[in-house]
Amino acid sequence: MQVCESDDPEYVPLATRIARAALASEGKITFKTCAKQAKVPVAFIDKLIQQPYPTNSTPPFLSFEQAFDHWLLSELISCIGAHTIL
Amino acid sequence: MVIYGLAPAPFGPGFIQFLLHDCDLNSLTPAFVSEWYPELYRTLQAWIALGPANDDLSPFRSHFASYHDVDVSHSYPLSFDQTSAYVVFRLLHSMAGQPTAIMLLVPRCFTVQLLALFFQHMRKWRRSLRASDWTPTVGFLWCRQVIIFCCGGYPIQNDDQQLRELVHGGTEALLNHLWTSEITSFTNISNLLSFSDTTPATIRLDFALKQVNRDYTIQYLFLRFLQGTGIPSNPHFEDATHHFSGHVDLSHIDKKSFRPRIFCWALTGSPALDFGSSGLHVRVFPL
Repeated sequence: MQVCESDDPEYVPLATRIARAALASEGKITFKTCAKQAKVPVAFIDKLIQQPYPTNSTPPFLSFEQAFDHWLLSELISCIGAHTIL
Repeated sequence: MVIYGLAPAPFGPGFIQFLLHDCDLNSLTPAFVSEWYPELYRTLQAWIALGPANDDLSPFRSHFASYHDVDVSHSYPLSFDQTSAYVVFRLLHSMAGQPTAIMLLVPRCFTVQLLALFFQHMRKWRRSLRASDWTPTVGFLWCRQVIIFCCGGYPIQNDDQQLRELVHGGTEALLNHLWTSEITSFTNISNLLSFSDTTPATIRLDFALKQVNRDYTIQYLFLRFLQGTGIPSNPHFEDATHHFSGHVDLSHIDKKSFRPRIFCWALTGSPALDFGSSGLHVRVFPL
């Protein structure tokens, strides 16, 4: 699992530069199961660190840890889809 | 799942051994039972020592209550109507000559809940077959069908001979492989995780993290996440669930196996560790 910059060409490789930046800002993780590799946009973790807690969203995240765990859990589960042997 | 090298939950290794050996009860040897089910092995020794003449099952009351949902505190034989529990009871009776094998199979595979699943699938295939038609012989035949069904339709029954021969070391080596690759907690993957040396990007990220908590690094946060359980934020998670594929059973989200398992699954495409290759090797490092 690699922490990468938003303009890393291997992060969402088929996306345009603008789309790549948009996906990175949403914290989307690129998984390459054949290579057993994932790319995590560092900008999104930075964003989670910098935003105030509780967040202004509805409902709010109460802490950085809660936001980080929710993001990683959701990303892992949502990517287990079409590319699974089960 | 067996073909893919995965432990075919909810079935236990005893049931798979039994199926792979053409439902031969002799394949469930005392050595096999003592290795995989040591507690059950002791119970079975006591069961065999009891002998057929003794009809007092009270020493086994807790065992039957725990694994079979059956109360054996009353006089023997028990009276049941035609329920799933009755089927368990009949199976137990019919195989009285083979107590070792049948008691191995019953607790793992013939729980009342799983029998309900069997009947559910049976009705799908053979709508004419009623619960009252269930006999021990039919039961075992259906067990083979059900596990084939549960394995995604792969015809194991036609290829089990080949499968046995393919695995060096026989079926017991296969079972060892299957259940060793299963992820039950973070400890299963902890030795397989590695983190690369620091780079400018990680230093920058770790510096920012230390403003939140001086113990934090990106490595620390990943390890902390993998060792955690449960839903971090219920309202956010509920909003996100409609994006999930449905392959992941979210009812296990509170178990300590859940996060390591989905982490491995997301990264490799398989929810189990692959010891056949170089093993799972996960790195967290920046570019």
